[in-house]
Amino acid sequence: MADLTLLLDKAPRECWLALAKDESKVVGRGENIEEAVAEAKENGEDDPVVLWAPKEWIPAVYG
Amino acid sequence: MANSLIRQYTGLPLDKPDPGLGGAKTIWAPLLGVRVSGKHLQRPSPQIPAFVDSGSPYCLFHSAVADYLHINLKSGTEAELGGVISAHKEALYFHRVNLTIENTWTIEVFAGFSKKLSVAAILGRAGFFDRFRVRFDHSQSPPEFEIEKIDLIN
Repeated sequence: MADLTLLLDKAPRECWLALAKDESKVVGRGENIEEAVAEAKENGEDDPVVLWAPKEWIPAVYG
Repeated sequence: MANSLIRQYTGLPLDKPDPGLGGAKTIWAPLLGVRVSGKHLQRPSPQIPAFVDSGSPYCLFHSAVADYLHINLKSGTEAELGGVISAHKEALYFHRVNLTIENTWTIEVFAGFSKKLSVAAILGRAGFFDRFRVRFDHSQSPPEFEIEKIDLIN
């Protein structure tokens, strides 16, 4: 994976995002993973990378 | 098959400059691409970035991943998980799933799924750190990390 700072900073929030396989652009979004993948496929990306975009990007301790 | 791989950390945005990171607006995180599938490997999830996190006792996934796999969330083994700052506890449901890591290794794990997880996926101690040796290298920027598959004897 690469530096996704600029891409994700401008991307929609509180949704699932589908990125192009090379992580260069957002190719789909949805309320769930299924929707994000379907939109990615409509945009020509059959193998997207899917992640959750939070309302706010803040430092977090996950474990 | 390769026994190890090295990955650079992934840069994620911060909405506000972080004083703990010298005012940075990027936070670097060790992420691996994983695909999750049910026990019979049918229709795996798309590739999902997962945090490599030794602070987590086990592997965790957002319940949306279970939904995608048509796993009945509440049919799993129920447990509770607390956070580092909040004393609030959240329900977890454990299911046995397969993880394909970086399109290279597939392992079976007993993973927790939660509606309240703030990220899509976490690779924790049980299930991941007991299968891979992990070396974090923060001597360079961005940092990188190496994972090496442990060959299990039994």
